[in-house]
Amino acid sequence: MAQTPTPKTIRFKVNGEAQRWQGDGEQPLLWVLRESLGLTGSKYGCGVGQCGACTVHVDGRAVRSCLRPMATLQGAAVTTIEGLGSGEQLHPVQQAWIDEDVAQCGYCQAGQIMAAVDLLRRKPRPSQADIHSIGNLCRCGTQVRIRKAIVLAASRIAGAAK
Amino acid sequence: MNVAPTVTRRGFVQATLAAGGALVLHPVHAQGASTTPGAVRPTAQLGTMIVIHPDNRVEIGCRAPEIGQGVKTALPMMVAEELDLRWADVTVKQLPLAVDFGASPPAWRFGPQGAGGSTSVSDAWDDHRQFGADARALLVAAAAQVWDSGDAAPLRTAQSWVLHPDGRRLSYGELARRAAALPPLDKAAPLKDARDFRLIGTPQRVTDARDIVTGRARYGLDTPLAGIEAAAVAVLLRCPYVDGGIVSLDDSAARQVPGVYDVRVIAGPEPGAPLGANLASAVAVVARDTWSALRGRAALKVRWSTGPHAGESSAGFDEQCRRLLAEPGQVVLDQGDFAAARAGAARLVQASYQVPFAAHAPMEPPNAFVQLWPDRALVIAPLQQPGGVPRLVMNLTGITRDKVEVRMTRAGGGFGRRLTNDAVAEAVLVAKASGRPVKLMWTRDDDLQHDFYRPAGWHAMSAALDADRRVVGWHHKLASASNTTAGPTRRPKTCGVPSSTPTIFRPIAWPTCASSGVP
Repeated sequence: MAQTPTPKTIRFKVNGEAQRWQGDGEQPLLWVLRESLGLTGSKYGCGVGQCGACTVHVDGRAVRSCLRPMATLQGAAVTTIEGLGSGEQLHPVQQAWIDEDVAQCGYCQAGQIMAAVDLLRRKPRPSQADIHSIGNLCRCGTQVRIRKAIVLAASRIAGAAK
Repeated sequence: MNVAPTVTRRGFVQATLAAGGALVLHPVHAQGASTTPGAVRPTAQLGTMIVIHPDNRVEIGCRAPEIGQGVKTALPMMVAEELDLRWADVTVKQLPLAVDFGASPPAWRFGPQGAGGSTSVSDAWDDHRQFGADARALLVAAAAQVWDSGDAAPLRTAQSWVLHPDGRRLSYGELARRAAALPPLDKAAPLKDARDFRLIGTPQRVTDARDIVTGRARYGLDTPLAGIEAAAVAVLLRCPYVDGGIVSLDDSAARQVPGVYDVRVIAGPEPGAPLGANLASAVAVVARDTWSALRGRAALKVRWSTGPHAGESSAGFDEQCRRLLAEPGQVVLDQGDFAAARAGAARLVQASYQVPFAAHAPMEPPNAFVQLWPDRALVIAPLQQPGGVPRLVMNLTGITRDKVEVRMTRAGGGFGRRLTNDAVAEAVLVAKASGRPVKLMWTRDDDLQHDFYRPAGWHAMSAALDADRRVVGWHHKLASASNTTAGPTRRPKTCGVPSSTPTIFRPIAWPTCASSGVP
């Protein structure tokens, strides 16, 4: 794995704030978020894009950040779990997650929430099959409550949109 | 050090006043091996279990590590129930490991602090409730003093208030100063009848829910290195052969990777010796950040020796199991007359099961942060057996156990993987070798390829059914890898039927049970 000879500066936004970064263009976004920016809400679960614990949004779409090289993020807008709500105001999915008491160990949950938010943006009235299409892994067994929270959040978002 | 405190009928609460007027309550456990009343001596408590602020906010400490099993909610609920706290005003703090190494034998300050065998809730059931009840009695006594009655009997408590029958009331926070000045209780307060529970038995949300959904909850891998001088991240390339070792190492390319500070060889366990520390020989890459460490590791060139078990294989293991199953085996349980039950059965059901080695695979891979000074150490990690860490650090560094500080983070799952502290051992060895504070991380690949796997084995089972399809005889013969392979000096050839065996299998002709340990 050779480092790019002259690392160019990557200018991108994270949770609305402008960032500048230089380094190995192959470095996955996950480590820059966690270690350069101190945003540890996005988690490492596998490093090969299989578990989804690292899910963030890049330009409004869910992305597994452990496989997203920094070199591809010029001009991109990244949202992490820390940037989902605004201040003390939680996103409806986060609030539904609390109301349904979804979390057990909690390690996969940030990624689950980011994936759920992405789903609801694309499919505001998701079917069970749509919900099942979220491939994030959970080792503790929160899957049933995840589904309940997504259904609850969907109805609240739809209600607020009226 | 495994003596659980004996909570005698003479439970104590020690109360002090903190700056700002907060009431700080500690449980005082009377401990000792003797059963003679009066021969036990109370140990002083240096940590906190309950803090009641003047504004009636309450913090409760949780002694057990939270690994997703919910103890950080359940254990404080027990205290809050007997103390009659307003649950919405309670926040929970994770307590660090607290052991009095001056006592003989060493004694838990807060009670047992492991998370294994599904024991945390039942272990805490008596002493946590007693602590809450004793704290409540102290606050009631304080209120009785304020109201000049001296008579606590008619006073009630609810939602963090003491209530006088005439309508007057005092909050726990207001009573802090006075409660701290009272002499300790001389007898244990009575516990509630279960019918009077208001909190226990009701569904409550996990106490860290908001932190989890906002990404603020901190796990071991999230331990920050910023501001810690010379701190580094480490990943290990472990020998892929059990009890194998390094034949040759070329780390020249690895050292050239930007961000890599150091490359160190870590010795593995002695073949045949009890496994007390790390589980494999390895090459450690120590670097500025995780990506540099991973790239450095990828650039290592290592030749491994295949060690004494190179001839092992899955096929060979299966063959061993098949041969063992054909032998008489070691009978563990033989009740009744299975042969007769079988002979008289209306139907015989037979099945063989093959159980593979199973990796625990917690969502958060093993990891540990270790910082060493000449005479003390700090360990921050997701743990299930923090009690074993001080001795481990002492064995590897000479630092005495009382100088080893252990902080348990939330764990991204445990499932038994974190019952061994091998990741801590690795971090200690790397910190020692590199002279740096180290956050050591396992990748998922590491985690699946090296583990204390749940044992593989073969199980041959048969059941005799009567005409009503009830089980009248049961036979179970198994040949399995032993879960004592990590400690070969333990007796490897015993097996037992757990006492929790379902009663539907009694009282009928019980099986013969055979087991042979396979190294």
